[in-house]
Amino acid sequence: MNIDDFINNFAEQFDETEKSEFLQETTFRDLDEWDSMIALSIIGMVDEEYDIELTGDEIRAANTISDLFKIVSNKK
Amino acid sequence: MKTLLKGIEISHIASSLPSKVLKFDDLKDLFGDKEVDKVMKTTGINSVHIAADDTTSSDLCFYAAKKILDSLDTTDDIDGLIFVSQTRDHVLPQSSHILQAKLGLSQDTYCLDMPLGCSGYIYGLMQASLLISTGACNKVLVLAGDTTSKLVNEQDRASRLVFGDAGSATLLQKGNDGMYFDLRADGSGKDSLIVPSGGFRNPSNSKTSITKPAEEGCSRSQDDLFMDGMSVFNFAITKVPKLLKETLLELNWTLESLDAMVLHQANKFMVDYLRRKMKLPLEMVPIEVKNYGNTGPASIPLAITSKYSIDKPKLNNVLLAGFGVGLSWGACNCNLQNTIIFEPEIFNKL
Repeated sequence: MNIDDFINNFAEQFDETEKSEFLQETTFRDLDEWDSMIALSIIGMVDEEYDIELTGDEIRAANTISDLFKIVSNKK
Repeated sequence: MKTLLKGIEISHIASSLPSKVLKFDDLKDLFGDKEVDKVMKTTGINSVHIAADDTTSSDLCFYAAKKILDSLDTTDDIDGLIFVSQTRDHVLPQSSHILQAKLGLSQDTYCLDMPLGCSGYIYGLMQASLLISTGACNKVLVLAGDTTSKLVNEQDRASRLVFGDAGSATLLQKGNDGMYFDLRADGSGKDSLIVPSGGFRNPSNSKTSITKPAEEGCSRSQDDLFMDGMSVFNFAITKVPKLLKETLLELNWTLESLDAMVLHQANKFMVDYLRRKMKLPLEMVPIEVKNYGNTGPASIPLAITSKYSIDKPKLNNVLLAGFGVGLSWGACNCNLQNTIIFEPEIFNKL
């Protein structure tokens, strides 16, 4: 698993946020566009792209995109 | 639980909707323009039908059932009535008994309430098929409906912008079809979709009815419906495709031999996600949520009546699947080729 691909896949779930805002250390919950609908898209993306089940609790426990990447890669 | 039941057919399907419509545009003052637009875009739901204070699920189902019964020469041979709903008329007696009398069905009728939600239609069909295939019953009505709007707090954005009310009626009788059922349960997920108070575990009192802020944009009380959207989505995308694939395998069906797959209409995002995961084309998997929302146990028959009542394609090999509260999920096949499918009716006061 590659962090850059993960960030790209993560960013693709957003419509309005500039790509440059998505970095490893980005606190995704602070993004204006972040909401529960985007969270569902992230769960779907992780399922489709990585065949990993990402739970709501795991998303709630993570702060940065890097945190999420670690959770997913540890399950791989 | 898996079983193949033989000697059945689905003869009629009807549905009904309460006349009052809640347009989500009208909730923008309460929840904000941007939020409501975003949810509508993702869920594909623009409005829902809402039952009046004095209209219950059994009223909506009665109305749909009447549509079928009025088209029959006789109703004397109907000897089973299954009512699938989480919004019954009373704690007791069962609503199925009330419906038996109201519909004028014989006193030889076997009546059963099944308090299930989004998987309930499949459970109801299984129960009816079981009664027919064993020879216990000749004809069984499955009445599935909910007035979920009455369980949702007005300030709960997450649920209010999803759930609508509807009723349905499906008549099963002796026939030449076989129906394969696969029903599954995981009660450890009970908290993902729950009305925490109001039963006997946590009876309602003055404290449980107080509305309190919950997640962002949502407030509710312990007497209201709570849905953990992320958990339910996760549950559906991991369990349902597996169930569908295993059901196809058991039936010895390929994706090419399938005529349609009608899923519980949770919302557009969910149904479309499952469709893509099953690699099925758009036209084979109806998404009928725009004007109805998620109508719980009525969503599958409502989708069938909404999509196929006028323009009916070949429907010999149809796969159905429901999933939700429990948690529970189930799938079955059915043959709707000769089924009389009525258009959804707007409920007029009884």
